[in-house]
Amino acid sequence: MTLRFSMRHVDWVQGLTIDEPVYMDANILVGSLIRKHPLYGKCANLLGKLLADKVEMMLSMVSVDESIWIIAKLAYCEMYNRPWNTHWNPSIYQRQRDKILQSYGSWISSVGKAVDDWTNAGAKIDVVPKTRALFKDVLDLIPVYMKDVKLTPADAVHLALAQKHAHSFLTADSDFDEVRQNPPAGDLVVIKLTA
Amino acid sequence: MSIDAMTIGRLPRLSEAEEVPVEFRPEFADVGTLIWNKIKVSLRNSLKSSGFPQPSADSIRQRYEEMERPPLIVVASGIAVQAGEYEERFGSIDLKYYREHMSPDMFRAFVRHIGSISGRTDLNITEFVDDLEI
Repeated sequence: MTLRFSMRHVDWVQGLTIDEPVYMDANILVGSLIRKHPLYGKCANLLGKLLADKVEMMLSMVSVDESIWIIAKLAYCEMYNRPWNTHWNPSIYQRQRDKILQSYGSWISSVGKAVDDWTNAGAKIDVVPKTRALFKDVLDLIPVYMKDVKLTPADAVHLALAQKHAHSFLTADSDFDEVRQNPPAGDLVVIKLTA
Repeated sequence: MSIDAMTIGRLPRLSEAEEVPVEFRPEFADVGTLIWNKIKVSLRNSLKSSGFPQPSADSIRQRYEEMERPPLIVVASGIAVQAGEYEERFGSIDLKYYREHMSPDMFRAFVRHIGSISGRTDLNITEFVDDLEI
């Protein structure tokens, strides 16, 4: 008999046991760097607990890309005193790229520096996918999650990477709420931080 | 007592002075007021004519800036921030717990980066992801 496990989706609460390895969504990473972010306190304290407990953490280049993209938009909003919901897309970025890098270059490089410093200080932070075989498994899962969990391609990549490499997936993204309603197969626990 | 009387009252009497490190400053932050500037110039000229060396304008400005600058709060070795930034970045963080449960290197790396970007309160990640997917 084959046992079929289903993913679980839970809200994060203080004291919740988080099984490692832990895959981190971009919003958790930037949430711990941007101090006026509504989730800053929760993200930074959660990150601190993971670092203090030497929990094995995982990032992907998708997380890094999204984090930097968020920070680039934040820089654009700061430069022109625009609200966060201002229109933003790759064309605007290309037009503003030099100004953003000139005025907010330290922000843009902060994600890389933070991960590098934490790793050098002893944090267990890996980049996934770890192997070619796992990469293949992830590629196979992406269209499944796009269809069954109704995710965008980038979110399907996150969920597939987390499912194949981690036991817990930390996110603040409501798009993964569908996992609660319609859990796909897997032993992953999606842990959502809310304001 | 007026500002003038308080300030002048602090000056040593010349007859008692062998080495006289003279420092005078207003009791209030409004250092740019006309009356204070007149007092300052008058005292400086008087001391200068009496042979006491006077600080340069730059050193006076630097001292005023140091007096007016909020004190830094040391969070970890080599990492100090001003009070306002400390409250924003670390007011909701249990630094005592992390200091006790992290190695010094890890604690320093942790506090160096968390909250290092000022950002804005209306930031919403979900809206951002919608942008990204366009």
